[in-house]
Amino acid sequence: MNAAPSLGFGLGLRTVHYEAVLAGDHDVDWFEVLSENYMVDGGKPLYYLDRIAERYPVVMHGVSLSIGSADPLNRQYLKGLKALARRCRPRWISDHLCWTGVAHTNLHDLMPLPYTEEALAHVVERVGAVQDFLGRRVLLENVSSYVSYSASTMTEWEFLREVAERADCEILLDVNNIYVSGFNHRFEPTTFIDSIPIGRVRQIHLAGHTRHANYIVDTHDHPIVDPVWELYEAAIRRFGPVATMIERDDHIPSLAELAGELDKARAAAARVLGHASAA
Amino acid sequence: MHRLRDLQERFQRYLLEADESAVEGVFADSGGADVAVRRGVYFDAYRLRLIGALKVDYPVLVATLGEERFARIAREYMTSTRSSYYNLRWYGGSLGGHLKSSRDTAAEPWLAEMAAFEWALMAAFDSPDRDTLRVEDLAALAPEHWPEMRFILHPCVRVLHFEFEVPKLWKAHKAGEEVFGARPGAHPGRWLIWRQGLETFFRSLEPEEAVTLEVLAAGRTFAQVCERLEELRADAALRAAGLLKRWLQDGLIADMRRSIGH
Repeated sequence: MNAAPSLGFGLGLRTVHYEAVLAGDHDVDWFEVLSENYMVDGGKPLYYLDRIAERYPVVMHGVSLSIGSADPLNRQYLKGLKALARRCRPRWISDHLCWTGVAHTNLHDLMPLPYTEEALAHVVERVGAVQDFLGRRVLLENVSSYVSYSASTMTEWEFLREVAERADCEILLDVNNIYVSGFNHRFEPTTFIDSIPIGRVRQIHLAGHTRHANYIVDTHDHPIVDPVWELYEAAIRRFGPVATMIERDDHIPSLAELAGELDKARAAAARVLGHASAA
Repeated sequence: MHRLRDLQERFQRYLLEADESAVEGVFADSGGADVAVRRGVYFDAYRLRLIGALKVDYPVLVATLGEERFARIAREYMTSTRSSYYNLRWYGGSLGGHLKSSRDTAAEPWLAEMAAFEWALMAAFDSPDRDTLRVEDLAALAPEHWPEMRFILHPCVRVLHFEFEVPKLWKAHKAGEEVFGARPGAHPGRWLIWRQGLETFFRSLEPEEAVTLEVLAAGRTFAQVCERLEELRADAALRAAGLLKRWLQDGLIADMRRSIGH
């Protein structure tokens, strides 16, 4: 597993950066596109996607797979996802280990799952169905969470590990989400990282968040904080040169500024791996 | 699955209906913030996210109503309309209908018209890409075939009827004018909305052009389009050809076909 070389250091593609991305005056190695934003009929979104995908490696990242919902999988959504993949030929496709609604309703949020044997079996079966349909393995990302359930019988990292192993899928490890959930649920983030199987992690997410008095909300509207950089180094130490990207969804700075933050990730990875071109 | 479904339905009921009893005992105390605060993060985020999406869809409506009133209307809309879409892009599609029927806004019919206008602009923005027919394509056609031709509109084309001059108000906002509380003038008419390349356009249609376009869009032959126009003016064929040329230049026509039976 992970035999393919890492893609290096990327950014989430945002509409305000379309022209700057195409102008090419940056050293961003690859771009992550939000699948749903391009599951439209035509116009600007697909125009830019086509051009950017011609010049850079892209990966698809979705928010509506709802892999843990008690509702049936949305076949129409899966068809749309497959059609988009045919169009932009992503290196991989990812979504979140969560549910986004039930009873044909979409809450448009990444709701945490109860970590139970029942939920585990349900998710594993559905990951299998999704991978069969798409004809490829998918990556699942750990989400930030604010509640935990009385029904849970295992930890989040045990649950994630079991899903990945039993369903034979890969992991998009969001280091900021580990930090946020660790703070909110009072667990040690390094315990999470150390429990994830080496070789399953294909991509890493980094992002900023908003700190409140006694909880943290994953807002993607600030620069990455130092403790998250430290966790990132711990992750690279364990998983090696994994493709890394920064997500920014609000208060979006210029591409140059974000690329500068990405350089910090490059430097951190190089420090850990002991050479200049880490990934 | 039974317990997972039950848990998800309970959490969702709390989020959608503010029913706190639904989640009694569902969440564990994992230290730090109180459970009510934690679940409240999801409660607030749901509302902020959907209101935020509606604000993106309807920027001029927001400017006209003001943030506060728009948020109140959006909350009301959220109560009556759940999202079943995998993309928030589609959630706001029935806001116009809501504005028409809501007690708060029914007496201001231009609000629903503004919603319809902004929604149509967005629909044109990401409507299907398709080649357009060019003036040269038509010029290459032997004149004797013109009467039997049917024309297919580009899928980006929308024609809307407004009682009020909402596009004028929209333009005023885009030009930086204050539109809060503005009431557009009453001026019934049809408006054409379309996309050419990546740019979205709109313009008013004179009654004659509107009628002609309607007949053409209904799949009638060019001869039938001319017949309809003859009811309005003498030089119908010349006028119809002129209109067709303009529509071709604007990229409104996707294709043409010879009528079956000729």
